[in-house]
Amino acid sequence: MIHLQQISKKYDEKWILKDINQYFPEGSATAIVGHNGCGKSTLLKILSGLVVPSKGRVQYDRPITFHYVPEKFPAIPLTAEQYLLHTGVMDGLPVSQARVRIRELAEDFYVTEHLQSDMTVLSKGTLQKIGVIQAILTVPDVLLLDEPLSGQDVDSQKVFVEKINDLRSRGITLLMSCHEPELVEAITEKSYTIAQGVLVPASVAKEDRYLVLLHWAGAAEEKQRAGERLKGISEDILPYGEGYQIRLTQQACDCRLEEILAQGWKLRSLQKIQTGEKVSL
Amino acid sequence: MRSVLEMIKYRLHIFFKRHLYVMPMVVLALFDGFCFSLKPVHPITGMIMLCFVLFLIMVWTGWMIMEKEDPVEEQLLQLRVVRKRSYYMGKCLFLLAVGLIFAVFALAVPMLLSVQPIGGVFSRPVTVGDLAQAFLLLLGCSCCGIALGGLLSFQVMRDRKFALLLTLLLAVVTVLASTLKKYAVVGWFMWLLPPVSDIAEVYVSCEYFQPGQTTILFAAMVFYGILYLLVHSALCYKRGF
Ligand SMILES: Nc1ncnc2c1ncn2[C@@H]1O[C@H](COP(=O)(O)OP(=O)(O)OP(=O)(O)O)[C@@H](O)[C@H]1O
Ligand SMILES: [Mg+2]
Repeated sequence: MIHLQQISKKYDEKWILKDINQYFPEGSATAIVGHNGCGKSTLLKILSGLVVPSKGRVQYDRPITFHYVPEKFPAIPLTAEQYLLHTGVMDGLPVSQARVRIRELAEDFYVTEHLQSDMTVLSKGTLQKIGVIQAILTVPDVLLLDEPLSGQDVDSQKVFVEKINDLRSRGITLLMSCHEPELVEAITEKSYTIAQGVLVPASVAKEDRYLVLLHWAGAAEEKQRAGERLKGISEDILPYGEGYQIRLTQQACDCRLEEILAQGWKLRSLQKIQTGEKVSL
Repeated sequence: MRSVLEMIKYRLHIFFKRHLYVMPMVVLALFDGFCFSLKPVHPITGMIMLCFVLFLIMVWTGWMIMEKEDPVEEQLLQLRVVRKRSYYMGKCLFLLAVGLIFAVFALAVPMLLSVQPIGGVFSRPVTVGDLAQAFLLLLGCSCCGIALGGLLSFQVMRDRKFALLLTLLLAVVTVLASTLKKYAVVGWFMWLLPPVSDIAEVYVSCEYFQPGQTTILFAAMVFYGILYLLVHSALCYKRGF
């Protein structure tokens, strides 16, 4: 769908992006992670034709509609509803339909009461939500998300993930720049990082660890021995109530949990406690 | 097409919400008041002065519109249409629409004064032909003024101070062109600027406007306005944000 051909970008004599070749197929969901100022936003803008690369070209398979959630949504001197109505009509919705759609989305994102406020007085998070709503009023071919969640509360984040995954199931192509590993994991399938101007695959390391709570369901005299065996599986073990809590890596969870249950332990809770924040290159 | 129309509506909405029209309109109204209190004023002289002032005010307005633009807001607008060309067309049409609004506003005062002859503001009766042709001239000045004011926007020239000075210089030279034309070196560059000062040259000692001349002047000024808008769009298109 989008083909980057030898894209380079220079700002003030400094090369931000160097010779990037990449194809983003239709329906793919890609994350771009990396340090502040490494060129994520610049790359998204080049993809959509907003920024002209210093060298190279961007090729599209066909004319594409892009919708874009900018990293910092501007405070436009209209009420949120007026703004969204204008954008809805620009996207081709009839006014009445746009109005209904805005109401729906506003309710989903808990901003109904802010629709009539001037956007210049909205809080950062609310403004960012308006930024998300304007991008998903209609279904685009490509959705560009530039740190879409900055400042949003937890409930809205969940709604956001749901909405985006719904759009993905309808075949849109997704490109996101983002710092939250959870979000990368939740809505994208591939991630890249920009290192010294070059786009390289990033695997968000699967170092997730799980907190496992176990209760002993076997005979009381067996419990002591079973506890010893548990220590053989994980060294990170502590008593918890009448049972134990152990910490396991994702891999250990996958291969050893069955064994633990077979020994006569009952699983009481399994909770992710740490997401791999390390991005290995 | 519907998107482009809605984009123009949106821009006008923002233009009024940002109150960008207030100061220019106040200045224009003040000038109207000043000019037509010098009674009796000859309708042709009054209109020529009004044309010059409107031109300068529109340069200012065009400059202000471009300065108050939010780049991210513009980026969102550009992505709303599939073709970048439609985005630039919408922007140009919006500027022309603002030009039209100001031309109508500028004409309103002399028009009111001419239908209600309050103590002979004008030295001779104002005809419909006067008003119609004055409107064409005002519209021409307004269009090329706003286009000139918006020409050196941020995307075209990063050095804002220099852009402001250059815009001011161009505007002043345009107004004084008929005097400056005599100096050879300056004269060579005059074709770059809209023929606003020709209005005075053509009509200064005339009793009535002449439809033929007015049409030529109007066409020339609109041509320059559209030319500037196209040049500006092409530069922005090439450079991106
Ligand atoms: N218009 C511009 N003019 C000059 N330099 C720019 C411009 N836009 C971006 N840069 C520079 O390019 C580099 C990359 O910027 P970019 O906004 O793409 O970073 P980013 O990866 O999105 O960072 P962040 O995580 O903070 O959002 C930065 O060093 C920035 O200073
Ligand atoms: Mg960024």
